[in-house]
Amino acid sequence: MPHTAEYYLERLAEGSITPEEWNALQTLLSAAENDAAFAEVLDRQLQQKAAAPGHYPQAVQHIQQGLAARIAAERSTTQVTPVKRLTPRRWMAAAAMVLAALAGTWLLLPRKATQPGQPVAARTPQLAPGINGALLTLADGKQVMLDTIKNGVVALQGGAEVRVVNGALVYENTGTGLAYNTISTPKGREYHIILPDGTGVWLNAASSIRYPIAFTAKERRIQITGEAYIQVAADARKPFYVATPLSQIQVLGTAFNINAYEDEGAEVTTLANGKIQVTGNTLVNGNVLPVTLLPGQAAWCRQKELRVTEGDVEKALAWKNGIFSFQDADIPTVMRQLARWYNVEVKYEGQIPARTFEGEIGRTLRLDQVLRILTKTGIHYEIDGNIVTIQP
Amino acid sequence: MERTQLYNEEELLRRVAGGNEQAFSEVVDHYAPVVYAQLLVYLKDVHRAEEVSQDIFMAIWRNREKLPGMDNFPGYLYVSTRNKILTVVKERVMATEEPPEDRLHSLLTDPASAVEFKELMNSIRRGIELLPARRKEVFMLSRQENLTYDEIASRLGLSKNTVKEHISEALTFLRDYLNRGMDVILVGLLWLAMAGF
Repeated sequence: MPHTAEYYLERLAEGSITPEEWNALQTLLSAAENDAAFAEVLDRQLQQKAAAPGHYPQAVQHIQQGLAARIAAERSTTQVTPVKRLTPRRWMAAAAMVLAALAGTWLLLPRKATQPGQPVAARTPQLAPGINGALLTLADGKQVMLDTIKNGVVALQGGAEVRVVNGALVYENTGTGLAYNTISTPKGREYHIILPDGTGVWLNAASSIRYPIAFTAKERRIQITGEAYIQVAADARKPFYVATPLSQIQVLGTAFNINAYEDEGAEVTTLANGKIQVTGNTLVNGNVLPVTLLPGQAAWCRQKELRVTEGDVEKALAWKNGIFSFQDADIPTVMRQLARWYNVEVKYEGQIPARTFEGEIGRTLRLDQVLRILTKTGIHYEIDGNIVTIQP
Repeated sequence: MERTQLYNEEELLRRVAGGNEQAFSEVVDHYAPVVYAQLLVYLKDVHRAEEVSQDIFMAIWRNREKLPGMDNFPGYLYVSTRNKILTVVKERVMATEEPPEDRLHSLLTDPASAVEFKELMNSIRRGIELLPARRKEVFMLSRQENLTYDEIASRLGLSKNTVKEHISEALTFLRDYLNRGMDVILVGLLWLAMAGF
């Protein structure tokens, strides 16, 4: 042979191998006695790569997801250690209990991934990302869990039909009577609702919306807690109002995001397009002064404080697009978001490390994967059950 | 960057042996970039390289009870990786009479195809911009000034092997970059920015 194993492997790696060399390599490879020579070259290359590895975060993420799925699949076929999986019957019973007891027991339920191919580690449910789901409270107090329903009629009330279409709640055959429904998402759930007038509402985790089953009044009014993105259907004759714990928003145009989580300290309403007017519920300098937002602007509202700031629409809507987006976010800010999505409680040991984060992380990752990214900046953590402790 | 040794590896491997998936995914995080990059060099397809990486780590997971007694885990992992590569190289080389066309290589060497694939050429340029400074310098000396490894080594005061490794890693990175598409890589970059690289 005119050339060594190393020569051919290098040509192959570069992609510059000629047809003649290809044939020579075929001959070399088909003789088992050459395996050792090839192995030696490959060993050396691997050692070099290991000394200064490149960064392939996308590839690693895909590999991790694939492995999680394969491990889960093997476990379910071998059943060596039976995981506490509930049978359908017992699941129904558990669901009934949940309806009575509300949040807190969600962990007991088997979780379903929102999309196929994004498996969730079954044995560590508290680490799994949030999924699609919510609790619907009807006017008569009846509650329906929307987690597992993909399509179908959920309820009939006052002539209105409530259906789930592709995992989103839709109102049809607008009824008459003035009745209110509430949809609330616990931690670890998000949900998409289409209101009777066609307005679309995306609810983030730990949030709620209260609305009439038919907008028969002169004005359309809904109430929001937590975080929601709202795309208001145009109807010039019926102005649209949103009430949050701290403010009133009059919608003069279309799409905006409200972040009104009480633990965030301030409400931020970011306008994507159209025009809205925000009024604080408390007096500002003794006055009720509404502010009007233009696209890209945000209203920042606290007790006795309301101002217009430059907003970041992309960042404000990141959650709806399946991403955590952080900009100059300190650790408590990051952890509050993670706590809501992964349904965990966050504790701090000693002083909270003074670091800020910038960047985006997919909400489909498991919590341990997200936290591991944070450790690269020198943060330490411990997970015990559903409590995450941040250590200095 | 301390990367070769995984912090607390013994303890992690003990937890993996006990069936702890979180510990396992930490081990995978640490070693997967090396395994994946080496597979990509020979498979030239990001999806295949990801798939075979999974096969390799899956085999480690299935044999996890062996891990605690092992005094050289990286050695064990790299031998499995090398054996797997040899198998897939054989399969790939035996599968066709002629070498399949390598798009990255033709773009980098053939000016005519570079004109034809102007868009791709632009993404390669963007990819090159993302290389670490020293790696980019080595790569440009090799591609634009057509210097040999020896010439680059003496000009920059590096060993020939370091030059070789820079170029091979630059090519692997560009292959991953091109093969994966721009939008995806942007998210990856944000991730890196976040991780403080």
